[in-house]
Amino acid sequence: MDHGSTPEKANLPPFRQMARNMVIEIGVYGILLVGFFFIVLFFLGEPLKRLFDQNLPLYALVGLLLIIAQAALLEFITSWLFDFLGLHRLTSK
Amino acid sequence: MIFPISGVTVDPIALIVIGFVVGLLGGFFGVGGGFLAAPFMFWTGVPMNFVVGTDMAHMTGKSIVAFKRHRALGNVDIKLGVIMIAGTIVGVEFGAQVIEALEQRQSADLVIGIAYIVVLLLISVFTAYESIRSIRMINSGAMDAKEVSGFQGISKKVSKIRIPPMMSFPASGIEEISVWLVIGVGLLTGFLAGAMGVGGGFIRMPLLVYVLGIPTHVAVGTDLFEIIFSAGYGTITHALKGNVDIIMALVMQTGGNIGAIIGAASTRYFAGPRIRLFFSVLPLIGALMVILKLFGIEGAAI
Repeated sequence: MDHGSTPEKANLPPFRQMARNMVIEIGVYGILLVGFFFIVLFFLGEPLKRLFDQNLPLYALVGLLLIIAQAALLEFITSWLFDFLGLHRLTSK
Repeated sequence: MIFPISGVTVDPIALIVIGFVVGLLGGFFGVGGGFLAAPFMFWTGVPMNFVVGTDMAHMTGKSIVAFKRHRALGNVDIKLGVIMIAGTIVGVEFGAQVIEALEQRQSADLVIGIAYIVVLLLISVFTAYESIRSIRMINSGAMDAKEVSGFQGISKKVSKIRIPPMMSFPASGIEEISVWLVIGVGLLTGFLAGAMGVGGGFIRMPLLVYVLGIPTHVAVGTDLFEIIFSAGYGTITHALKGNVDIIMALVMQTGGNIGAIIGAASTRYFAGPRIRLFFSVLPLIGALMVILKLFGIEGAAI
């Protein structure tokens, strides 16, 4: 059975409401993403360049951690903010 | 904007847009999107040696985001993904060895390129044909909308292969299947990815649906789970060679994560056959990139 193949439309929240919440969510997440990027650029730009020149294994590890942080941590904060504001996410079951 | 690590000036907006488009495709289809991101990164001015590694880094991040979204929707089979990873790793190494051996012969690029185009065209045509057939059958009532695909014969025959150990995958709706078949899918995908030099997303997704009989949405989510590990591993290996600009990857990921969220969320509003129908266009784009490469257009397929 392809339980995912047919979206159960009756169980789906109204698209308009979901789309509105998604715009808010992306707005919040987008601000966090850009903020995170500028923090990394201004505070870690030079240290990262030094690591790249002097210690590639550590650079590889720090790089991967930053990528994971930007993806997972910011997503977590956005989820928390959404729950805090009592908004329903488009990807909530 | 000057990127201090790679030492090049690249338009960050272009990188964000590339990340967004690839993230959207990744979230919706469960593909890494390297076949599309890499050429466009190169054409934007990213040096060739930084293209693949940086793309892998951003791919890791946006796959985490899309995976989390799909998991929240119940579209990920972790057990299946973990077992497949074992096969994929062996397959990638084997594929890379075969390529190394072939490259010692003349015209290896042409042979591999043509083989790649044929594989991609077959996937595209079959997926398009099957999904259109499924949509028509569902509309006419000839097929239950809950069926995985209009071609269940393959997966039913495959499920009759009972080589122990057998395992059940409740998250995928599979009661019992030989573990070797799951590893085999990972192995084949890994081999093709290793041999052809791209991620195996657009080969793995159809295989999961048509061969193992996994629902499309679960195939997409599980594919993303696997991409996190393959791209993460790729990021480390490329970074150790000095081929990853992490600042650039973070810029791309800004667009990529937003695209991934929209892509993953959109799958809720599309049935499996429709997702597969849209998906059938991707291998065509991949094939086009290889054709451009064979015609000598630099950076078309990396």
